[in-house]
Amino acid sequence: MSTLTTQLEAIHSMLAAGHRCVHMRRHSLVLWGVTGGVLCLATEYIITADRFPEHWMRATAVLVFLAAVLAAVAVVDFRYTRHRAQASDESIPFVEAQITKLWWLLIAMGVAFTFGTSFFGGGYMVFVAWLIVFGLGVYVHGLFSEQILEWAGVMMIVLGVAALAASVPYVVTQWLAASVFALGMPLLAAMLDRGRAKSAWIRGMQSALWLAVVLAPPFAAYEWLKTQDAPSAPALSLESFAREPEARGATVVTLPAGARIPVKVRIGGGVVQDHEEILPLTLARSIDVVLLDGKPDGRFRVEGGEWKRRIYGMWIRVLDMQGALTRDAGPAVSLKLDLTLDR
Amino acid sequence: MANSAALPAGLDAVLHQPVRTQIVAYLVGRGEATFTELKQVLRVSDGNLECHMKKLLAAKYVATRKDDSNARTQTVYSLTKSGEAALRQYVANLQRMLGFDAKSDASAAVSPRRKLAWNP
Repeated sequence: MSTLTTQLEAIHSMLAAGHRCVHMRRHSLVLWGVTGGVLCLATEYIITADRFPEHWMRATAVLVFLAAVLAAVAVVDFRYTRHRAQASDESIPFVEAQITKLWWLLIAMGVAFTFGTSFFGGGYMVFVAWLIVFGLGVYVHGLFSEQILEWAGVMMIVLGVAALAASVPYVVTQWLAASVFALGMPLLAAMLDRGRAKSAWIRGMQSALWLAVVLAPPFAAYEWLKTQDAPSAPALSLESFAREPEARGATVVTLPAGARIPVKVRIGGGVVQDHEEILPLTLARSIDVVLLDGKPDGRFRVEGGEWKRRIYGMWIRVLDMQGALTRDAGPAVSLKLDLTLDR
Repeated sequence: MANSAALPAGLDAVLHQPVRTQIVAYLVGRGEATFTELKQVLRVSDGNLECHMKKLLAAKYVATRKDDSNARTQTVYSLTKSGEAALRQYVANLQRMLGFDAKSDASAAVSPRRKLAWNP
């Protein structure tokens, strides 16, 4: 009877091995990961407002650049994977061929989303979206190959969703995505174990190590950047600043609570005539801003708090926009914006 | 290792051998595989695997095709319909013998959780 049981278990084991037949190649993880990390960090320095002054030009340049680089990586990965498979006398299973197509589709969706944010908003989420796209791809690979890939795919998705839910600053999501791709995916390649069964405890330890490696650099860099934000110059009052001649280097100016800030608002779009209006805003709390050679450089702090940069400290959200048409007042539109500086 | 002399009634003599059973079960899940892949998965020698592949080919449970889409021609093995049917029948017979069929009582010798799922 035990021989029969052993036979059944052997069949079960081989069926499972057969279903997990996709061989995730180490070079694929390294290639896609390093490329993804470099693109996260380098794209904004390649596609700049100086090179592409118009908004639509920058959007198109990003689309073409990402599509060209990622397509080149896809071709290199495809050909090298087949070369390696042939060299080691392996076949490419049907499932692997289909999953490769799915991976390309996910990458194409990521590129399309990135392009779309230039016109439809949501640019804040672009790196989160890429984390989720890569996470989904790695998870689906894991379903048909190695368990560790399933774990890593889920962790990538959770990191992306958690970053969004916790309103992590944009620049941190950028570094997080770069770290997950450029460090996390090569590390994952080193952790591949050809589907050998490991206890949940070992998988947990591997996951903790992986998380530590991908989380430490972006958050260390963020903390370091914050220490670099504090200017050394003493703060001038608005009156002193107005009296003094224009200074070179960094100057700190305090805008007191109650200071009036005229906001020039220009609205167009075809439905209404182009119109420009000055919106008089009044500061509720004092703000220190840094001028570099006479121009605001994006650094600020609210009521003597922590120094921040505009790119990761300022949020503008449209909370509500409603139209009305009444007999007494005629047509009217109300717009409610929320400006947050110190979250 | 099982042999025909000790073959329980109703079991397929070609499949009732651990290496051959595993080859066929692996091909069910994977679709097709090369000789090298089978050797790696089963951890057997070239000669041993070749011997078993010959028996499966002779029984028409396994078919081969030459993949010459690359510079180097590969021989790829896949399961035939009769091979898959034979494995299903073999598994059904094993389960019946072990008391996994629907009419078996709860005191079967082997835990019901071990019952084989065709798609694990």
